[in-house]
Amino acid sequence: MIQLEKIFKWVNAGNNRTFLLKDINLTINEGEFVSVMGPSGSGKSTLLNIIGMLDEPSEGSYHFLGNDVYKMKEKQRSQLYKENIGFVFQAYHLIDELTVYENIETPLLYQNIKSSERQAIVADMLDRFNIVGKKDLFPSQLSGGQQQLVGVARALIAKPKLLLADEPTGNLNSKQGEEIMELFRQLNQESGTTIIQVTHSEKNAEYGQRIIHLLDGRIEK
Amino acid sequence: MIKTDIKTSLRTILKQKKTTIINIVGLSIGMTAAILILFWVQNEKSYDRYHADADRIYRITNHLTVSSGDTWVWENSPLIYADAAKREIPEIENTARLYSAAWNPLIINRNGTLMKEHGGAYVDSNWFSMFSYKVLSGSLASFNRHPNNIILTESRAKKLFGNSDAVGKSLLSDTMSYTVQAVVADNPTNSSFQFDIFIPIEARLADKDTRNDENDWGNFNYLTFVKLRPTAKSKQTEAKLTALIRKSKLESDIKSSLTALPDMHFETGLQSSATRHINENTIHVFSLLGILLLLMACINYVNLTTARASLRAKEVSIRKIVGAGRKELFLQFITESFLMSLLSVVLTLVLLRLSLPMFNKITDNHFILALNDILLWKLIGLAILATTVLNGIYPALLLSSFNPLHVFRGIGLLRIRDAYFRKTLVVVQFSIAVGLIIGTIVIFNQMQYIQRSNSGYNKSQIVNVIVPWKAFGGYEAAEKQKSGMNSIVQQLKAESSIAEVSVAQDNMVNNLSLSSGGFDWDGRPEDFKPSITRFSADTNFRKMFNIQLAEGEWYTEDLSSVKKFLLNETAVKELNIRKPALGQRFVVGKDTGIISGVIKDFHFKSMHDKISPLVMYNDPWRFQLFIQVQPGQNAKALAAIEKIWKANLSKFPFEYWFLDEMFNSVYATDNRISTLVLIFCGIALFISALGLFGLTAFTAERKTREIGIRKVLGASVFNIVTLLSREFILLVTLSILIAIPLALMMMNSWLNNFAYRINIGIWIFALAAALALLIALATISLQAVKAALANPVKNLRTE
Repeated sequence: MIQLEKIFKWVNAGNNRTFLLKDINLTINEGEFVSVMGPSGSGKSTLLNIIGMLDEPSEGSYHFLGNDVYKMKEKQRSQLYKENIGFVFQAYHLIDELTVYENIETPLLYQNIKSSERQAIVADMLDRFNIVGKKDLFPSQLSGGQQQLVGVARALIAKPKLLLADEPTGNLNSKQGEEIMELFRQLNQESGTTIIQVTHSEKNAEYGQRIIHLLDGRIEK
Repeated sequence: MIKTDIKTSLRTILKQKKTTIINIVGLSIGMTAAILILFWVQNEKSYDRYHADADRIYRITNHLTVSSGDTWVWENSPLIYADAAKREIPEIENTARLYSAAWNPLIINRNGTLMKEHGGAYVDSNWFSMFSYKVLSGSLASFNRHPNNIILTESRAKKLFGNSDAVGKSLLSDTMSYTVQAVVADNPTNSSFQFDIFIPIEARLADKDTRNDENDWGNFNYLTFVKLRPTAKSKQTEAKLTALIRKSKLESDIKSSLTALPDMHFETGLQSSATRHINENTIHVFSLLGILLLLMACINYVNLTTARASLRAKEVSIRKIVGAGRKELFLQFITESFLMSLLSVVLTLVLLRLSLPMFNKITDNHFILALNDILLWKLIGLAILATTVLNGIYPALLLSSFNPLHVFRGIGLLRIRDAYFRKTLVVVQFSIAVGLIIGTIVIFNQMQYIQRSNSGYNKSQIVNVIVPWKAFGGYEAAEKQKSGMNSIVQQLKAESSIAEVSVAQDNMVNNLSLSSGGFDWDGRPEDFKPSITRFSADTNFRKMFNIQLAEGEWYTEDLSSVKKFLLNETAVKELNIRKPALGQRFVVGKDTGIISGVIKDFHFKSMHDKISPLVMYNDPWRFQLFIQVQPGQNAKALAAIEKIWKANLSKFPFEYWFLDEMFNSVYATDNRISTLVLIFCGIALFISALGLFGLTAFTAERKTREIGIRKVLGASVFNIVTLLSREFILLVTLSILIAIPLALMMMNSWLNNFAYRINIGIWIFALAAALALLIALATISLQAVKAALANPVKNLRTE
């Protein structure tokens, strides 16, 4: 599903070139649940953002579902992204002005799905996550765990093949964190969603089938 | 999608209450001003175009060369010109004539009381076929059959006959009985012909003397319109008309030209006119001002929206991550600005409703706010479109351009570039405001200068009453007239409420009468026939109007000795009177006399015009009474005057004017402009202050933490206020520097409309700058002081 070859990423600060990623070669197959670990500044988030097409490397190639991402036109890439990738953030990043229902619905809006269809999909999702009763609340009225649940629901609403999570439990207490992790495992096993998560926690990393360790921009063998 | 956009936008609009209120108030005031001005502009531009075939109708204009370099331009033609033109020039399809009764208003006899009915006109049989009138009852066809027929407009008919149908009723004048043949709809606001009573020209010509006079090529009394055939060229017709009038009048230097009906409203340079004119530049300047006001309001929106962009950045980024493209985000923000415009329109309608009566009063119009008026909705649609686009484009582009990763990492990439843009807009806004302040001060200063220059007499205490020249038997009864006038003057003087009475030939506020030829003096070249104003006044006139002699002496009431003439300084100079001027021979018409004195120049015309040569003399053939009232006794004096009028002139209706009213009517357009500019200036300042208020409020909000930390470190309230206001004050200062040269240019060109004008002094700029800075500082302080006084501990804790 994902093939990264010779990915380098650097930033220039004055005369110094600082490498964020160095020679990353990585293949992830469909249906895998991968955890990325490493200390702060090791390039975990950068790698996740590159996989999520939010960022581009300075060098290297990236194939996603057989498409050479950097040779695609902006429009096609955006289409590929919209249909296949969902994001979950540490800080939830819900839109404060929208209700739970509307937050979850947003990705569907940008895929031009009809109103009646959207209603059905969102209703299903609310049901599945047991948050029907909260659908008219605004993010500020929810607890952190509940907000992240909405965040996950939103990431999943368009049925992406790949779910990217950047420290999804970082702002949660351990019980809430566990619930989210259980949810991820369930997703991975039952729906076959490919999941890549960045985490600091050994315990959470164990939910994945494979753990990638990053240090100073390199994958530790 | 649209539904969600609308929902989101409404929530955003409701959430930021302060910003929303500032935006809506600013936008709706800007819209109201722009719509009112466009109403007016549209009305002015459409003058007379509503007549069928307006593009083929022309008015004959006559140019009379009276002396080398001195041409009189008349809108009137001789009565017989129309018939001759139609007979001899085949391109002319039809002609129509109108004689304005402004100077001889119809006198109506209502149950024995005589009243002057202004707004009447004598028209010929073609008038109603050439111009479009809507008949409400009766018929136009019968109008021409008899000179005693009359046509009224609806509101005049209502005034004269109440609500019953006027057709068939008769109207008694002082000499005739007219029968109403038809009632037509009121004249549209955009008609040059604001006449409410129409009488056949035949009625005027019923008098044998008048008929003889009018059948002469020398009397120019009729507005004459020609309708050309569709194929005709106006230039060729002009040449034929000129040839015709030269042949008929046996004069070689007269010229006729054609003024297209739609251009008539914008004519300048006519000696006097029966219709209303406007300078086209005035329209352009005001259109520009309207657009600028709307622009200023839009600037507020753009500034506040982009200033808050960082607050929206998170939302935009998330939307991008969940799949929104730029197009969708762009649409979302355009929707937001559209909704804002729509909300503003609601308030605009209320404001329009409230301000229309005042606007009508200022512009002397009668617009109505009808919700079924297509023009209104067109203008509103235009305003919505303009504000949506102006407001929406930049913020939408800016907001949709965020890179989500940068936003999450807290990199404010856009802040620098965007802040410059915002500052530029503030400078634009304040430059306009400062320019308007300067304009207002200059205009008011000029108007005051006009008042001051004419302040030799107390205008509000002098009443002008005109005795009809036929009152004592006309030309044949000069002696009777003289004693009659004297007797009236004596009776007036006997009243305790009246201080002084003077009799003169013409009024003194705006005396437009000019004569050429018939003057002579030693040393005059044969072909030098300049235009001179003849002015006969009694000896009291000098005292009442405080006219100063430069040299020599005033004439006396003793008319038996040699005729004495007084020339103003301009006359002495322009006529090249031999030195010394005193004692030189001077001839006015049949009277030969000497120059007995030179009067210091005074304004007897509008200050738009240069003081021209004037000759004053004492001749009893004069009918204007100037009655100076004792202070505070206006009512008593008016009653006394009316009583004396009734006792002596019962056959004529009584009418009077205070000189200050006449004076103000001469400067009506100038007063109108100064009022409008004052209002615009106020609006512009208000909108700019509103924007500044919003921006400071936002800056203070953003800097709450910084202010808190600074206060903990020992900053005083003054330090904080300085911190928050320094930048804005610099911007306002820059605006002042930009506005000054532009305003100087604009106002100089306006002042050049006056022959007598003020010079724009430095103090005007200083005053405008001080005013702008004061307003800006006051606005900023409102927020800054609040922020500076806030308890830092509280702010830092909530962070």
